[in-house]
Amino acid sequence: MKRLQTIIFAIAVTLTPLMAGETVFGINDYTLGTLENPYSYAGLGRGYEIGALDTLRLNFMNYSAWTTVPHPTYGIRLGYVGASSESNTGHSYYNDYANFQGGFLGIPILKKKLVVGLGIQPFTNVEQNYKKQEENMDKYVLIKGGTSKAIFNISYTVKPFLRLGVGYEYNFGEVNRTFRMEFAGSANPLDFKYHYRFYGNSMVLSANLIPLPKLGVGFVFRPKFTGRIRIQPETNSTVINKSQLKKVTLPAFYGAGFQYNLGERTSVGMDFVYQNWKDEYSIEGRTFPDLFTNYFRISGGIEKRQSHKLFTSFAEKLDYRAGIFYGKQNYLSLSNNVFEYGVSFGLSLPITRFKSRLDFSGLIGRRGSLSDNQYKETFFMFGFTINASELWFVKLEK
Amino acid sequence: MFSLLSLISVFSCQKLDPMDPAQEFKSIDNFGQFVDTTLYADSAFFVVDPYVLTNASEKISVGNFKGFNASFLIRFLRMPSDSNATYDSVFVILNRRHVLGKDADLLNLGVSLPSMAWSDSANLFPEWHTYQPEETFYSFTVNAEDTQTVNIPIPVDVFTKWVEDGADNKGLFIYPQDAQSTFISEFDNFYIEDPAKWPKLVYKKILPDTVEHDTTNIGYATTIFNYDVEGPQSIYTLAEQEKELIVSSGIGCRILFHFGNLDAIPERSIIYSADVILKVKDQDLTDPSQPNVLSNGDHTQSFYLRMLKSVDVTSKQYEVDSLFASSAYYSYKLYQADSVIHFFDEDAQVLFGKSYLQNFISGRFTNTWFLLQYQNERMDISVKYIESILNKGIKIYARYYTVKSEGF
Repeated sequence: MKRLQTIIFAIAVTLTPLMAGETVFGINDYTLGTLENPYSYAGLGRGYEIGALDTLRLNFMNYSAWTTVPHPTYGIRLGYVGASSESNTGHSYYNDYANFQGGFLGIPILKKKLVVGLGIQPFTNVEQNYKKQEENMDKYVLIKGGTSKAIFNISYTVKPFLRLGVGYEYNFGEVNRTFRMEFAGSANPLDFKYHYRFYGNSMVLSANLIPLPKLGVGFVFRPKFTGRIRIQPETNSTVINKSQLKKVTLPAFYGAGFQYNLGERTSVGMDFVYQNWKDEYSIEGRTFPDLFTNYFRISGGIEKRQSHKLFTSFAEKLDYRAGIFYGKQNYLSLSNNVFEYGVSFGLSLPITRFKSRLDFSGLIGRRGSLSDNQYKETFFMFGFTINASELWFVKLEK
Repeated sequence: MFSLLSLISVFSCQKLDPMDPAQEFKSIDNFGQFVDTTLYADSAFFVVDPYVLTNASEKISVGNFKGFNASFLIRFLRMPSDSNATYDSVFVILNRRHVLGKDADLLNLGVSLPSMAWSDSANLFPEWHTYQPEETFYSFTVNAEDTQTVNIPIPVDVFTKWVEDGADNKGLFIYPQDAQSTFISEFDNFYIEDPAKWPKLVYKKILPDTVEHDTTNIGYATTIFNYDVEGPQSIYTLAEQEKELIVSSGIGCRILFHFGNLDAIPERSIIYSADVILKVKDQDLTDPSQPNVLSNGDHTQSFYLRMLKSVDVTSKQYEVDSLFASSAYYSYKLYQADSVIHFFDEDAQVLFGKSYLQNFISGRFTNTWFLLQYQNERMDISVKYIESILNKGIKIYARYYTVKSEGF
């Protein structure tokens, strides 16, 4: 229990710097931040996750697969993201950050049958500092923040070939806009800030099927839900500072994927995720088709898993992964879609003695184009995931 | 693991240079806009308080000028206590500081012993405004052009009486001997920073075996200012007839002015700065071709701006809102620069906008009457004429940011 408290506290500490930006794209008047839909977290390098049945780690994308966890298992992911960007005005920028990207804990109640899980995962983030020069004034807006999901999930093995998961998600977060107007020759800028605090309840349904011995299929569905945004100004005016509450509806999330085992140690697979931001994202019932569009990402890849032979080379004890992805962002830039593509790779280092493993992953991609969008950027990510599986709640005989 | 996460959290930071705004982020322009506006006072008058407290002033004044009369009382508190001493060569030395009025003329002054006990708040008491000195033991003339100290010889018997009375001695009353003169001479009082310029009492103490020269500069002095405020030739009478505005020190006169249009600023505004501006008329009231010679060039050109809780225009009774008199944050000072009295620097304008006008717009303050007075009413005679509100002589210039859209 003490260990659990330590983990929760550690997650809470690392949430502090959670808000940071990874891209120059995606900021408009109604943004909650850019989407952080995972690029297949646990096996980031392999490009697929929804259809996979990872036996040793938590599957961050499809919670129904958690029933394969034999012991209490936790996973925490840390990441570093960098993006080199260029704008159509000839300016270039570089953004980077390192932060917490999610953590989960699964506790088997009935071994291989029923698992309850807790987790927290960012799903949007943003941090950009805009500057606009006018004749007698420089305007600055710092947009910073993000949103996360706190998840409570129950996964159940209905049949050996069918696993189902149902989860409650509490969505929360805050995006701030800090305005500063600096007048030429003045030492007194005008500063004020607007807090946009978001919260809402949603659910997630997941399923994992094994219709054929070598084939795993997964589905994830989050119905669209309506949350609230409390607009809390922080200005010198007590009139303006009165907060307002607005309804915001987030689109449904659809995810589907498969994994096909080519052999004992080799698999290929594919994921597809989709959200209709154009028609389903709304504030007080108003949609923003000129700012948002439908989001999708299709990804696929290959994985070669470790050998379980007792006496083999170290290289054979590692997992190797590679993948590719292609997608469309949920926002428009210069009224045009923003596409992205890239390659991913990964490596897992098992720590067999502790039934744990360390996942290292990387990714490089391109997003946007100067002919259609205001910016284009090259981005890369490095991730480090700790997965540990331990024996808890064991009564020792004295 | 905890240590690792903590390390990562501390490490987690990013370089964030400003970049060109995304074109889809129109809030940077549409969130609101700056507006500059000028609001004019719609009502104003002045109120005269002829008896102001003149204690602890930096200056003491004596003389006549343009109907203003000044005399002062001075006493030294520390007297020698030698029982077997006699005294000789006793002088009160005053340091000249400034002259209000003609700078090439003579002023006849008399020195007498006050017949009444007095305190440094004597200017508040009517009896000192009608006081006639009984016995002038010394007369002298000062030249407006002189800058040297004034030495007033004190008779030995007078000084011996002071020694007997100790700190309770009545000191001196120094007054202009002529009913009319052309300037008021101003001397440094005990309350300036440099003790070398304080009034001094020097004397020679003769003991059986020795002769000592001693000096004391511990004492206090207060000026009695007089003016026939309600007389037909009074500047206050003339100004009231002409609907002109006056602010003065010595004879306290404050301007009360009203803004009935502050609510023209939209409620949903963030006040950036506000300046209260009063236009000064450098003209003689009776002869506009001449400059205002009653404006005292030695007086720090600073003024208090107060908010009033209540004003009765008919009776000219008013009550200052204590918040604006006691709190340093809400204490506003205006300064004269060139031909206007206003908040001299941007910091003060921002503070006034943020602390008063913002709160008025938000409904926290309801004060719409303002009061302008010399910051140091006790120091000397100084008079400023302010342009009438009929000529838009008093205004507030405000810059604010009106929030139009709040995003989402």
